[in-house]
Amino acid sequence: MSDTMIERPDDMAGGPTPPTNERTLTRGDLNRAWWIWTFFNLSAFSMERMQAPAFVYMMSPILKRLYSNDPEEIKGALKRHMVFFNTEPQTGVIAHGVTAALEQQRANGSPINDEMINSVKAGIMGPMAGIGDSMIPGTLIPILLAIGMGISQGNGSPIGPLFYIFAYPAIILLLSYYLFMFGYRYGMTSMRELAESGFRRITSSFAVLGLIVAGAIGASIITLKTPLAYTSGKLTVSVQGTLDKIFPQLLPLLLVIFLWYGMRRRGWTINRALLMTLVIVLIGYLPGLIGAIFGIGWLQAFRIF
Amino acid sequence: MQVWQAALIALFCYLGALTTPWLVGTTGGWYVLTRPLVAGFLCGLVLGDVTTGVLTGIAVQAVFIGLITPGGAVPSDLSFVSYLGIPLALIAHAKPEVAVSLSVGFGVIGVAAWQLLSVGNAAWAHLCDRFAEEGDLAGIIRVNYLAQIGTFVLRGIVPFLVLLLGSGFAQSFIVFLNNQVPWLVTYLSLLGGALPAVGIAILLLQIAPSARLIVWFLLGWVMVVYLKVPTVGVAVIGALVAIIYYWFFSRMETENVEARNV
Repeated sequence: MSDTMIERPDDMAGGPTPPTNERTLTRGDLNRAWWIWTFFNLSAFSMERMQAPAFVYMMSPILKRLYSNDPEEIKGALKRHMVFFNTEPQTGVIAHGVTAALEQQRANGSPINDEMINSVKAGIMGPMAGIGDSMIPGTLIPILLAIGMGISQGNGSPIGPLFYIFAYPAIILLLSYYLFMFGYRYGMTSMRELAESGFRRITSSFAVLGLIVAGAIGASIITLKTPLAYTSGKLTVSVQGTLDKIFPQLLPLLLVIFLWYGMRRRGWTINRALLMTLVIVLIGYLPGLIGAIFGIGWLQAFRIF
Repeated sequence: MQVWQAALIALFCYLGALTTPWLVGTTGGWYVLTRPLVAGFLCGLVLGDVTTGVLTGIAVQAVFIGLITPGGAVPSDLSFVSYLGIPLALIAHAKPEVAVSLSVGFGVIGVAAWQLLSVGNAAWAHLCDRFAEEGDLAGIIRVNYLAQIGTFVLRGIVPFLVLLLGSGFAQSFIVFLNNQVPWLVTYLSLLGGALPAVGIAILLLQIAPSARLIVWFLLGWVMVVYLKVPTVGVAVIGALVAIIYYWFFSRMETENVEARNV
């Protein structure tokens, strides 16, 4: 990987290039790079290299500006950026901004080699994939969807979906653009800056909001009721009616907690959780099922769900 | 289903696929067009019943609300959930709860389709390597467009054929279910009501780094069941609570630092 180092000893010996030759990325170059990435981030996605082809495409305006008259440098840069790359596409762009900053410093004579650029990229893409996934599809999207669902629930009005269609892209594009430019400005120190500016506090506050909304969605969207009833003397009391007086939507809550516990503590996969739900509902419905197949009406009374 | 309806829905399926760039990449495609809430609305629009479409979309969305695709690992394929499950259920006049069960089934099938594509696409990456060797930047850029061929076949042509050929089948299938095996329909409806619990549990798993934070989830839950606050209201209250939490958290941290310094 260090062949580029050997190829450019004269550059290194020359020290910092005089400012007259300084190659600087323009705002336009950075804007173009961000737009390219925003559109094409997964277009040639494969399990093997993931987002690498898109990363190279994103780098194209930057490489053209920095190494326009040097085919060897272009070739080296293409190889450098065709390595495995994967992050959350919308918020991981901090890594792209930082990479642009590093390439610019390199083009102006800083001794930055392939390993350094790639380790910085990898160092940011990993954490940003985790943070981005839990912040965007894990928190922001469910909140916006919940609001949209809340608007249209029961009446089926198109306002809910329309709200989501406009709100999500507006928020995320602003955030993504900001993060890209942020990455460029802070270059190497961006992640430290983030940590110092109370990023953890922001994410955990976000988690609080996400959890509260998740609770609201759960309570209003899951349906699980029991038809069970018991008779004492002349009085028939429905179990569901009693439950509703004490804690409405208790059965759905217990189901959620059960599945959550299984996935968290027992390491269930999502498909396993789906299967468990299938089985639980089936067991609860079994008396009704047998009753319906064999025409035994009284069995229906023992249905749990 | 008319040919134009199948074509339009298949086009949505392609435009909303995870690897399609045309609608501002993943932002407008995967995270907007392919959300079941949006797909229900659009399918309803195309098939002439927006209200039922939106209601079906909401029911299906609830199951998949916490879906994250880390590193391209898709636990359930939303493209087929949204643009095969929902339109076929609408055509067959299935209840939203039955549509949920149907969509979950399509999601499982779709995962295999996705794996095929994401493994096969490695050929494009190898082509890129060759271009990089030659220093051919334009070649690599071209690959980003050419790689759409696979996505288009899988997410455009295949759904189009399934919708065109399968809508009559789906309709008679649902009629058969209703008339011959009503107990199965009842079971599917019960299941459709319970399945969103999986979606909520996944969400909970992903947002809450520690089990103690589950009290916030319970707070949201009881606001709805006891106080009957609508979801939008809970979101507003939640935002206020998050701000208070942020302040409290920062004060706690400063105090900790001061305590350590003393």
